[in-house]
Amino acid sequence: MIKQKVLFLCTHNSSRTQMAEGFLRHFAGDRFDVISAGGDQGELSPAAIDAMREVGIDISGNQPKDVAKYLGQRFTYVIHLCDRRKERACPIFPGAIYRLHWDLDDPRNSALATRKVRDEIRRHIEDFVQKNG
Amino acid sequence: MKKSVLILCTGNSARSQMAEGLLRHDAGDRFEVSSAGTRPTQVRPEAVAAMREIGIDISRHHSKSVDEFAHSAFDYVLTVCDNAKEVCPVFPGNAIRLHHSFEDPAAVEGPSEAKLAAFRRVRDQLREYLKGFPQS
Repeated sequence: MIKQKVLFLCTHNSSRTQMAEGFLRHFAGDRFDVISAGGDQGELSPAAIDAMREVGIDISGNQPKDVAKYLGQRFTYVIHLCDRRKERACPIFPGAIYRLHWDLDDPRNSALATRKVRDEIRRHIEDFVQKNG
Repeated sequence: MKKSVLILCTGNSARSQMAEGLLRHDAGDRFEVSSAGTRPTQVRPEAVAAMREIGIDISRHHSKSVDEFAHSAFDYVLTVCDNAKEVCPVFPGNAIRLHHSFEDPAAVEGPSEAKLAAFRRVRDQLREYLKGFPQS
């Protein structure tokens, strides 16, 4: 089976996209090749590591990446997790077959906000896997 | 060697289409010009008409998605949307990113003559700006 390539994209690749990558790889890593990246290379959010650890997924070894690294590649799905109207630096990426947009607020480093966004991401991922897996 | 330029906005229907036509016409010996949008629609007939008035034919242009340029590397990415009213897409990578805000002529309401006047105005502003490209 050929895995479908998925790119999660947000501003810094520090929290939202890292959690999304963790969930999709955990639930359906056998069906999707999962990458996450940002418009720049932020730092992995400690709150995101903790929030994911609470649900049994270890993302502590992940590295934030600049999406420019993937220019020239094509992805079946490019999933935007930020909204340009709220975050001006939220990048685009040319090379999507399907483009999805989940509007999720940047939880920054707040433990509470990160848990809330983690649960929203989980619902989106479960829905995505059910529809596309 | 020619430098490659991607002119980017949301719809790739008016401003970026006229800018592509202008830059290619006025400086096509120096630049390889493309344009695209994040939500392509169709080229506005007023844009074609306004350009035809100055002898530039963009009637064969079509509105393109950035996804058509996945395999291209650009020296310059120029955004021409109106940052006060719209949010310009941010293109990743090492391209030199330039921005200049131009009003959206397609947003002008009123009789067709008023609309066409807006396209002419923006066409002339684009041409003036592009004369200095890429210095500003």
